[in-house]
Amino acid sequence: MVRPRARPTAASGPEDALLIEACRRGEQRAMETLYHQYKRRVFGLVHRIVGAADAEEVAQDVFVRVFRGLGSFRGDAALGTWIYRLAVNASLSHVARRGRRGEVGDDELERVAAPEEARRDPRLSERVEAAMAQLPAGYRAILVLHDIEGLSHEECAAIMDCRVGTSKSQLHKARGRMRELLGPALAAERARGGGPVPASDDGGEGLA
Amino acid sequence: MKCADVEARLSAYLDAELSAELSSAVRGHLRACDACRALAEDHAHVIGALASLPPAEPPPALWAAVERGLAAAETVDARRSPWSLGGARLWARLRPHLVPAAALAAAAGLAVVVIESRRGGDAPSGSGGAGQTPQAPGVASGEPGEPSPGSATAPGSLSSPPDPDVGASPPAPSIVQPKVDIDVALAAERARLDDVYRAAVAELAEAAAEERAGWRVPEQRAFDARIAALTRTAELADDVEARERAWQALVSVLQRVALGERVAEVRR
Repeated sequence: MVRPRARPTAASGPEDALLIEACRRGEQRAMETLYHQYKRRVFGLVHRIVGAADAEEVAQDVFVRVFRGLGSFRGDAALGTWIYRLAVNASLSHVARRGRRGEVGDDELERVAAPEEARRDPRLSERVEAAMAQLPAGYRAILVLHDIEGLSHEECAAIMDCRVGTSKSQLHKARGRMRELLGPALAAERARGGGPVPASDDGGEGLA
Repeated sequence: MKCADVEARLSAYLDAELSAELSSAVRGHLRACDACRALAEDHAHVIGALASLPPAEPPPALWAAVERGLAAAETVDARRSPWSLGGARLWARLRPHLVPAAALAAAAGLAVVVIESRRGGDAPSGSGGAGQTPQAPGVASGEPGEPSPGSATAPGSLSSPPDPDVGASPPAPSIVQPKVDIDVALAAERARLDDVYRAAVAELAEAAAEERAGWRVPEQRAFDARIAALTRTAELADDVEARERAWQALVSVLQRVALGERVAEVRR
Protein backbone atom coordinates (compact mmCIF):
# COMPACT_ATOMS: atom_id res chain seq x y z
CA MET A 1 0.00 0.00 0.00
CA VAL A 2 1.20 3.51 -0.82
CA ARG A 3 1.77 5.26 2.48
CA PRO A 4 2.92 8.73 3.47
CA ARG A 5 6.63 9.18 3.87
CA ALA A 6 8.49 10.49 6.86
CA ARG A 7 9.75 14.05 6.57
CA PRO A 8 12.69 15.66 8.27
CA THR A 9 12.06 18.65 10.47
CA ALA A 10 13.80 21.94 10.09
CA ALA A 11 16.07 22.96 12.90
CA SER A 12 17.68 26.24 13.74
CA GLY A 13 21.27 26.34 14.88
CA PRO A 14 21.96 28.45 17.99
CA GLU A 15 25.50 29.01 16.80
CA ASP A 16 24.27 30.99 13.81
CA ALA A 17 24.19 34.28 15.72
CA LEU A 18 27.89 34.01 16.60
CA LEU A 19 28.75 33.00 13.06
CA ILE A 20 26.81 35.94 11.62
CA GLU A 21 28.51 38.41 13.95
CA ALA A 22 31.93 37.07 13.04
CA CYS A 23 31.09 37.29 9.33
CA ARG A 24 29.88 40.85 9.78
CA ARG A 25 33.28 41.68 11.26
CA GLY A 26 34.82 40.22 8.13
CA GLU A 27 36.53 37.29 9.84
CA GLN A 28 37.82 35.00 7.13
CA ARG A 29 37.39 31.74 9.04
CA ALA A 30 33.80 32.54 9.91
CA MET A 31 33.01 33.36 6.30
CA GLU A 32 34.55 30.12 5.12
CA THR A 33 32.62 28.21 7.79
CA LEU A 34 29.35 29.74 6.68
CA TYR A 35 30.20 29.04 3.06
CA HIS A 36 30.98 25.38 3.71
CA GLN A 37 27.85 25.05 5.84
CA TYR A 38 25.60 26.17 3.00
CA LYS A 39 27.54 25.51 -0.20
CA ARG A 40 25.89 22.19 -1.07
CA ARG A 41 22.38 23.41 -0.38
CA VAL A 42 22.87 26.66 -2.27
CA PHE A 43 24.68 25.06 -5.18
CA GLY A 44 22.19 22.19 -5.38
CA LEU A 45 19.27 24.58 -5.44
CA VAL A 46 20.86 26.91 -7.97
CA HIS A 47 22.10 24.03 -10.11
CA ARG A 48 18.64 22.54 -10.43
CA ILE A 49 16.91 25.83 -11.16
CA VAL A 50 19.34 27.47 -13.59
CA GLY A 51 21.08 24.36 -14.96
CA ALA A 52 24.66 23.17 -14.83
CA ALA A 53 26.07 25.70 -17.29
CA ASP A 54 25.24 28.77 -15.20
CA ALA A 55 25.18 27.22 -11.73
CA GLU A 56 28.65 28.32 -10.64
CA GLU A 57 28.14 31.90 -11.78
CA VAL A 58 24.79 32.22 -10.00
CA ALA A 59 26.00 30.43 -6.85
CA GLN A 60 28.94 32.83 -6.69
CA ASP A 61 26.53 35.74 -6.98
CA VAL A 62 24.36 34.28 -4.21
CA PHE A 63 27.25 33.98 -1.76
CA VAL A 64 28.49 37.47 -2.57
CA ARG A 65 24.97 38.74 -1.81
CA VAL A 66 24.89 36.69 1.37
CA PHE A 67 28.13 38.11 2.75
CA ARG A 68 27.36 41.66 1.67
CA GLY A 69 23.81 41.41 2.96
CA LEU A 70 24.60 39.94 6.38
CA GLY A 71 24.95 43.45 7.74
CA SER A 72 21.26 44.07 7.12
CA PHE A 73 20.11 40.57 8.10
CA ARG A 74 17.90 41.18 11.11
CA GLY A 75 17.23 37.59 12.05
CA ASP A 76 13.48 37.79 11.38
CA ALA A 77 13.84 34.50 9.51
CA ALA A 78 16.27 31.66 10.14
CA LEU A 79 19.62 32.20 8.47
CA GLY A 80 19.01 29.19 6.23
CA THR A 81 15.64 30.51 5.11
CA TRP A 82 17.19 33.87 4.30
CA ILE A 83 20.03 32.28 2.32
CA TYR A 84 17.60 30.04 0.45
CA ARG A 85 15.48 33.09 -0.37
CA LEU A 86 18.50 34.88 -1.83
CA ALA A 87 19.38 31.76 -3.80
CA VAL A 88 15.86 31.25 -5.15
CA ASN A 89 15.48 34.92 -6.08
CA ALA A 90 18.87 35.04 -7.80
CA SER A 91 18.13 31.81 -9.66
CA LEU A 92 14.65 32.81 -10.82
CA SER A 93 15.94 36.24 -11.86
CA HIS A 94 18.72 34.60 -13.81
CA VAL A 95 16.29 32.26 -15.57
CA ALA A 96 13.98 35.18 -16.36
CA ARG A 97 16.85 37.18 -17.85
CA ARG A 98 18.11 34.25 -19.81
CA GLY A 99 14.69 33.29 -21.13
CA ARG A 100 14.57 29.78 -22.35
CA ARG A 101 18.05 29.91 -23.78
CA GLY A 102 20.13 26.99 -22.65
CA GLU A 103 17.33 24.97 -21.10
CA VAL A 104 17.11 21.28 -21.80
CA GLY A 105 14.85 20.54 -24.71
CA ASP A 106 12.53 17.67 -25.54
CA ASP A 107 15.33 16.03 -27.49
CA GLU A 108 17.33 15.49 -24.33
CA LEU A 109 14.42 13.70 -22.68
CA GLU A 110 14.08 11.43 -25.65
CA ARG A 111 17.78 10.63 -25.55
CA VAL A 112 17.28 9.38 -22.02
CA ALA A 113 15.21 6.48 -23.28
CA ALA A 114 13.05 4.22 -21.12
CA PRO A 115 14.86 1.04 -20.08
CA GLU A 116 14.09 -2.27 -21.67
CA GLU A 117 15.28 -4.39 -18.81
CA ALA A 118 12.92 -5.34 -15.98
CA ARG A 119 15.01 -4.03 -13.09
CA ARG A 120 15.44 -0.78 -11.25
CA ASP A 121 16.17 1.88 -13.84
CA PRO A 122 19.83 2.76 -13.33
CA ARG A 123 19.35 6.03 -15.20
CA LEU A 124 16.40 7.18 -13.17
CA SER A 125 18.34 10.09 -11.69
CA GLU A 126 19.30 11.35 -15.12
CA ARG A 127 15.75 10.95 -16.27
CA VAL A 128 14.42 12.87 -13.27
CA GLU A 129 16.96 15.66 -13.72
CA ALA A 130 16.07 15.90 -17.41
CA ALA A 131 12.36 15.99 -16.61
CA MET A 132 12.93 18.71 -14.03
CA ALA A 133 14.70 20.77 -16.63
CA GLN A 134 11.47 20.75 -18.64
CA LEU A 135 9.49 22.40 -15.87
CA PRO A 136 8.88 26.10 -15.38
CA ALA A 137 11.49 27.56 -13.03
CA GLY A 138 8.94 28.10 -10.27
CA TYR A 139 8.02 24.41 -10.29
CA ARG A 140 11.68 23.49 -10.18
CA ALA A 141 12.16 25.74 -7.18
CA ILE A 142 9.33 24.23 -5.16
CA LEU A 143 10.40 20.67 -6.03
CA VAL A 144 13.96 21.36 -4.93
CA LEU A 145 12.94 23.09 -1.73
CA HIS A 146 10.27 20.61 -0.66
CA ASP A 147 11.08 17.25 -2.20
CA ILE A 148 14.85 17.41 -2.46
CA GLU A 149 15.84 19.67 0.43
CA GLY A 150 12.97 18.42 2.57
CA LEU A 151 11.69 21.80 3.74
CA SER A 152 8.19 22.29 5.08
CA HIS A 153 5.56 24.22 3.19
CA GLU A 154 5.83 26.98 5.78
CA GLU A 155 9.54 27.30 5.02
CA CYS A 156 8.95 27.07 1.26
CA ALA A 157 6.31 29.80 1.48
CA ALA A 158 8.65 32.05 3.47
CA ILE A 159 11.45 31.50 0.96
CA MET A 160 9.29 31.99 -2.12
CA ASP A 161 7.31 34.82 -0.56
CA CYS A 162 3.93 33.18 -1.12
CA ARG A 163 1.15 31.66 0.92
CA VAL A 164 1.41 28.15 2.32
CA GLY A 165 -1.59 27.16 0.23
CA THR A 166 0.16 28.41 -2.90
CA SER A 167 3.24 26.39 -2.01
CA LYS A 168 1.11 23.26 -1.64
CA SER A 169 -0.78 23.75 -4.88
CA GLN A 170 2.41 24.55 -6.80
CA LEU A 171 4.03 21.42 -5.46
CA HIS A 172 1.04 19.29 -6.43
CA LYS A 173 1.07 20.71 -9.97
CA ALA A 174 4.83 20.30 -10.25
CA ARG A 175 4.67 16.67 -9.19
CA GLY A 176 1.81 16.08 -11.61
CA ARG A 177 3.88 17.56 -14.42
CA MET A 178 6.84 15.41 -13.44
CA ARG A 179 4.59 12.34 -13.53
CA GLU A 180 3.54 13.24 -17.06
CA LEU A 181 7.11 13.82 -18.20
CA LEU A 182 8.34 10.61 -16.60
CA GLY A 183 5.33 8.63 -17.78
CA PRO A 184 7.11 5.78 -19.61
CA ALA A 185 9.68 5.34 -16.89
CA LEU A 186 7.05 5.29 -14.18
CA ALA A 187 4.98 2.77 -16.13
CA ALA A 188 8.07 0.58 -16.37
CA GLU A 189 8.60 0.86 -12.62
CA ARG A 190 5.01 -0.16 -12.01
CA ALA A 191 5.26 -3.04 -14.48
CA ARG A 192 8.24 -4.32 -12.55
CA GLY A 193 5.96 -4.42 -9.55
CA GLY A 194 8.41 -2.62 -7.33
CA GLY A 195 7.19 -0.29 -4.66
CA PRO A 196 7.94 3.38 -4.84
CA VAL A 197 11.50 4.46 -4.40
CA PRO A 198 11.92 4.75 -0.64
CA ALA A 199 12.55 8.24 0.62
CA SER A 200 15.41 8.33 3.04
CA ASP A 201 14.51 9.58 6.49
CA ASP A 202 17.61 11.73 6.59
CA GLY A 203 17.26 13.02 3.07
CA GLY A 204 17.11 16.69 4.04
CA GLU A 205 19.47 18.61 6.21
CA GLY A 206 16.69 20.96 7.29
CA LEU A 207 17.22 24.64 7.68
CA ALA A 208 19.87 25.81 10.03
CA MET B 1 -14.64 9.77 -1.72
CA LYS B 2 -14.43 10.00 -5.53
CA CYS B 3 -11.40 9.73 -7.80
CA ALA B 4 -11.21 13.51 -8.29
CA ASP B 5 -11.20 14.02 -4.51
CA VAL B 6 -8.36 11.56 -4.14
CA GLU B 7 -6.36 12.99 -7.00
CA ALA B 8 -6.59 16.49 -5.54
CA ARG B 9 -5.33 15.23 -2.17
CA LEU B 10 -2.58 12.89 -3.33
CA SER B 11 0.30 15.22 -2.58
CA ALA B 12 -1.06 16.08 0.84
CA TYR B 13 -1.71 12.39 1.53
CA LEU B 14 1.79 11.33 0.56
CA ASP B 15 3.28 14.16 2.63
CA ALA B 16 1.23 13.03 5.67
CA GLU B 17 -0.56 16.37 5.81
CA LEU B 18 -4.11 14.99 5.89
CA SER B 19 -6.08 14.26 9.03
CA ALA B 20 -6.29 10.66 10.15
CA GLU B 21 -9.85 10.43 8.87
CA LEU B 22 -9.02 11.81 5.43
CA SER B 23 -5.92 9.63 5.18
CA SER B 24 -8.02 6.58 5.98
CA ALA B 25 -10.57 7.54 3.35
CA VAL B 26 -7.86 8.06 0.71
CA ARG B 27 -6.24 4.76 1.64
CA GLY B 28 -9.60 3.00 1.44
CA HIS B 29 -10.22 4.43 -2.03
CA LEU B 30 -6.76 3.40 -3.21
CA ARG B 31 -7.43 -0.18 -2.12
CA ALA B 32 -10.46 -0.33 -4.37
CA CYS B 33 -9.50 1.86 -7.36
CA ASP B 34 -6.76 0.58 -9.68
CA ALA B 35 -6.46 3.85 -11.60
CA CYS B 36 -6.01 5.98 -8.49
CA ARG B 37 -3.61 3.46 -6.99
CA ALA B 38 -1.48 3.64 -10.14
CA LEU B 39 -1.58 7.43 -9.94
CA ALA B 40 -0.58 7.36 -6.29
CA GLU B 41 2.29 4.98 -7.02
CA ASP B 42 3.49 7.27 -9.78
CA HIS B 43 3.42 10.26 -7.46
CA ALA B 44 5.24 8.28 -4.79
CA HIS B 45 7.85 7.22 -7.36
CA VAL B 46 8.36 10.85 -8.39
CA ILE B 47 8.72 11.98 -4.79
CA GLY B 48 11.05 9.13 -3.93
CA ALA B 49 13.16 9.69 -7.03
CA LEU B 50 13.52 13.39 -6.26
CA ALA B 51 14.52 12.68 -2.67
CA SER B 52 17.06 10.12 -3.87
CA LEU B 53 18.79 12.41 -6.34
CA PRO B 54 22.50 12.64 -5.66
CA PRO B 55 23.57 16.01 -4.29
CA ALA B 56 24.99 18.48 -6.76
CA GLU B 57 28.57 18.97 -5.61
CA PRO B 58 29.81 22.56 -5.83
CA PRO B 59 33.03 22.95 -7.80
CA PRO B 60 36.15 23.40 -5.65
CA ALA B 61 36.80 26.75 -7.32
CA LEU B 62 33.52 28.24 -6.11
CA TRP B 63 34.92 29.69 -2.87
CA ALA B 64 37.74 31.38 -4.75
CA ALA B 65 35.14 32.83 -7.13
CA VAL B 66 33.12 34.12 -4.18
CA GLU B 67 36.23 35.77 -2.73
CA ARG B 68 36.94 37.39 -6.09
CA GLY B 69 33.35 38.64 -6.26
CA LEU B 70 33.58 40.13 -2.77
CA ALA B 71 36.91 41.77 -3.58
CA ALA B 72 35.49 43.28 -6.77
CA ALA B 73 32.44 44.62 -4.94
CA GLU B 74 34.62 46.17 -2.22
CA THR B 75 36.83 47.78 -4.85
CA VAL B 76 33.75 49.41 -6.37
CA ASP B 77 32.64 50.54 -2.90
CA ALA B 78 35.99 52.22 -2.36
CA ARG B 79 35.43 54.40 -5.43
CA ARG B 80 32.12 55.73 -4.18
CA SER B 81 31.37 58.64 -1.93
CA PRO B 82 29.81 58.06 1.48
CA TRP B 83 26.56 59.52 0.15
CA SER B 84 26.19 56.91 -2.53
CA LEU B 85 26.95 54.10 -0.11
CA GLY B 86 24.35 55.12 2.42
CA GLY B 87 21.11 55.27 0.49
CA ALA B 88 18.97 54.47 3.49
CA ARG B 89 20.93 56.84 5.68
CA LEU B 90 20.54 59.58 3.10
CA TRP B 91 16.78 59.37 3.20
CA ALA B 92 16.81 59.11 6.97
CA ARG B 93 18.72 62.38 6.97
CA LEU B 94 16.34 64.06 4.55
CA ARG B 95 13.04 62.71 5.79
CA PRO B 96 12.77 64.83 8.95
CA HIS B 97 12.96 67.90 6.78
CA LEU B 98 10.19 66.80 4.45
CA VAL B 99 7.42 66.38 7.00
CA PRO B 100 7.50 69.88 8.51
CA ALA B 101 7.61 71.35 5.02
CA ALA B 102 4.48 69.47 4.02
CA ALA B 103 2.77 70.45 7.25
CA LEU B 104 3.68 74.07 6.70
CA ALA B 105 2.40 73.93 3.15
CA ALA B 106 -0.90 72.53 4.41
CA ALA B 107 -1.06 75.20 7.10
CA ALA B 108 -0.36 77.89 4.54
CA GLY B 109 -3.20 76.64 2.40
CA LEU B 110 -5.52 76.67 5.39
CA ALA B 111 -4.48 80.19 6.38
CA VAL B 112 -5.04 81.48 2.87
CA VAL B 113 -8.53 80.00 2.87
CA VAL B 114 -9.27 81.63 6.21
CA ILE B 115 -7.91 84.98 5.10
CA GLU B 116 -9.76 84.90 1.81
CA SER B 117 -12.92 83.97 3.68
CA ARG B 118 -12.35 86.83 6.09
CA ARG B 119 -11.76 89.34 3.31
CA GLY B 120 -14.82 88.22 1.46
CA GLY B 121 -16.94 88.59 4.61
CA ASP B 122 -15.56 92.03 5.53
CA ALA B 123 -15.84 93.59 2.14
CA PRO B 124 -19.54 94.43 2.00
CA SER B 125 -20.22 95.89 5.46
CA GLY B 126 -17.53 94.93 7.95
CA SER B 127 -19.99 93.83 10.60
CA GLY B 128 -21.80 90.72 9.50
CA GLY B 129 -18.64 88.98 8.33
CA ALA B 130 -16.67 89.67 11.46
CA GLY B 131 -19.10 87.69 13.48
CA GLN B 132 -18.55 84.67 11.22
CA THR B 133 -14.85 84.31 11.97
CA PRO B 134 -14.27 84.18 15.68
CA GLN B 135 -12.36 80.90 15.36
CA ALA B 136 -10.11 82.02 12.59
CA PRO B 137 -7.27 83.43 14.72
CA GLY B 138 -7.07 80.29 16.78
CA VAL B 139 -7.06 78.01 13.79
CA ALA B 140 -4.60 79.99 11.82
CA SER B 141 -2.19 80.78 14.61
CA GLY B 142 -2.16 77.27 15.96
CA GLU B 143 -0.27 75.71 13.05
CA PRO B 144 2.76 77.98 12.88
CA GLY B 145 3.24 77.67 16.58
CA GLU B 146 6.97 77.07 16.14
CA PRO B 147 8.08 79.74 13.75
CA SER B 148 11.73 80.44 13.50
CA PRO B 149 13.02 83.25 15.68
CA GLY B 150 12.26 86.56 14.08
CA SER B 151 9.37 85.24 12.10
CA ALA B 152 6.91 87.28 14.15
CA THR B 153 7.52 90.10 11.78
CA ALA B 154 6.23 93.64 11.54
CA PRO B 155 3.27 94.46 9.33
CA GLY B 156 5.65 95.96 6.85
CA SER B 157 6.54 92.53 5.55
CA LEU B 158 2.96 91.60 4.75
CA SER B 159 2.55 90.23 1.32
CA SER B 160 -0.96 91.66 1.14
CA PRO B 161 -1.68 95.41 1.45
CA PRO B 162 -2.10 96.53 5.04
CA ASP B 163 -5.67 96.95 6.15
CA PRO B 164 -6.38 100.67 6.63
CA ASP B 165 -8.89 99.78 9.34
CA VAL B 166 -6.47 97.62 11.28
CA GLY B 167 -6.57 99.87 14.34
CA ALA B 168 -10.36 99.99 14.45
CA SER B 169 -10.89 96.30 13.98
CA PRO B 170 -9.12 94.25 16.67
CA PRO B 171 -9.62 90.82 15.16
CA ALA B 172 -8.01 91.76 11.86
CA PRO B 173 -4.32 91.79 12.91
CA SER B 174 -4.65 88.41 14.59
CA ILE B 175 -6.06 86.99 11.38
CA VAL B 176 -3.43 88.48 9.11
CA GLN B 177 -0.54 87.82 11.49
CA PRO B 178 -0.54 84.02 10.98
CA LYS B 179 -0.05 84.47 7.26
CA VAL B 180 3.01 86.54 7.91
CA ASP B 181 4.44 83.86 10.19
CA ILE B 182 3.68 81.12 7.74
CA ASP B 183 5.20 82.93 4.79
CA VAL B 184 8.39 83.63 6.65
CA ALA B 185 8.58 80.19 8.21
CA LEU B 186 7.85 78.58 4.88
CA ALA B 187 10.59 80.57 3.18
CA ALA B 188 13.05 79.67 5.93
CA GLU B 189 12.10 76.02 5.77
CA ARG B 190 12.38 76.04 2.01
CA ALA B 191 15.82 77.59 2.17
CA ARG B 192 16.92 75.04 4.75
CA LEU B 193 15.56 72.19 2.63
CA ASP B 194 17.28 73.53 -0.45
CA ASP B 195 20.58 73.63 1.42
CA VAL B 196 20.20 70.04 2.56
CA TYR B 197 19.29 68.86 -0.91
CA ARG B 198 22.09 70.89 -2.53
CA ALA B 199 24.63 69.27 -0.23
CA ALA B 200 23.29 65.80 -1.03
CA VAL B 201 23.20 66.48 -4.75
CA ALA B 202 26.75 67.87 -4.77
CA GLU B 203 28.14 64.75 -3.14
CA LEU B 204 26.08 62.37 -5.22
CA ALA B 205 27.00 64.20 -8.40
CA GLU B 206 30.68 63.48 -7.76
CA ALA B 207 30.02 59.75 -7.48
CA ALA B 208 27.64 59.79 -10.45
CA ALA B 209 30.24 61.57 -12.57
CA GLU B 210 32.55 58.58 -12.23
CA GLU B 211 29.89 56.27 -13.61
CA ARG B 212 28.92 58.78 -16.30
CA ALA B 213 32.51 58.88 -17.54
CA GLY B 214 32.14 55.31 -18.76
CA TRP B 215 29.02 55.97 -20.80
CA ARG B 216 28.60 56.67 -24.48
CA VAL B 217 28.31 60.33 -25.48
CA PRO B 218 24.56 60.23 -26.32
CA GLU B 219 23.90 58.70 -22.92
CA GLN B 220 25.98 61.36 -21.21
CA ARG B 221 24.01 64.04 -23.03
CA ALA B 222 20.67 62.51 -22.07
CA PHE B 223 21.85 62.26 -18.47
CA ASP B 224 23.08 65.87 -18.45
CA ALA B 225 19.79 67.11 -19.90
CA ARG B 226 17.78 65.21 -17.33
CA ILE B 227 19.89 66.53 -14.46
CA ALA B 228 19.73 70.09 -15.81
CA ALA B 229 15.94 69.98 -16.13
CA LEU B 230 15.49 68.64 -12.63
CA THR B 231 17.93 71.17 -11.21
CA ARG B 232 16.09 74.05 -12.89
CA THR B 233 12.79 72.90 -11.42
CA ALA B 234 14.31 72.31 -8.00
CA GLU B 235 15.93 75.75 -7.88
CA LEU B 236 13.28 77.84 -9.59
CA ALA B 237 9.83 76.38 -9.06
CA ASP B 238 7.62 78.54 -6.86
CA ASP B 239 5.48 75.65 -5.75
CA VAL B 240 6.98 74.03 -2.67
CA GLU B 241 5.78 70.56 -3.53
CA ALA B 242 7.08 70.81 -7.10
CA ARG B 243 10.49 71.83 -5.74
CA GLU B 244 10.55 68.94 -3.34
CA ARG B 245 9.53 66.48 -6.01
CA ALA B 246 12.29 67.79 -8.28
CA TRP B 247 14.92 67.57 -5.51
CA GLN B 248 13.84 64.06 -4.66
CA ALA B 249 13.89 63.02 -8.32
CA LEU B 250 17.32 64.57 -8.71
CA VAL B 251 18.70 62.77 -5.67
CA SER B 252 17.10 59.52 -6.79
CA VAL B 253 18.56 59.66 -10.31
CA LEU B 254 22.02 60.59 -9.05
CA GLN B 255 21.94 57.97 -6.36
CA ARG B 256 20.94 55.21 -8.75
CA VAL B 257 23.62 56.23 -11.22
CA ALA B 258 26.22 56.47 -8.45
CA LEU B 259 25.33 52.94 -7.40
CA GLY B 260 26.04 51.75 -10.91
CA GLU B 261 22.44 51.29 -11.93
CA ARG B 262 21.64 51.86 -15.55
CA VAL B 263 18.90 54.42 -15.16
CA ALA B 264 16.31 53.78 -17.85
CA GLU B 265 15.60 57.39 -18.79
CA VAL B 266 19.23 58.08 -19.62
CA ARG B 267 20.39 54.70 -20.90
CA ARG B 268 18.35 54.19 -24.01
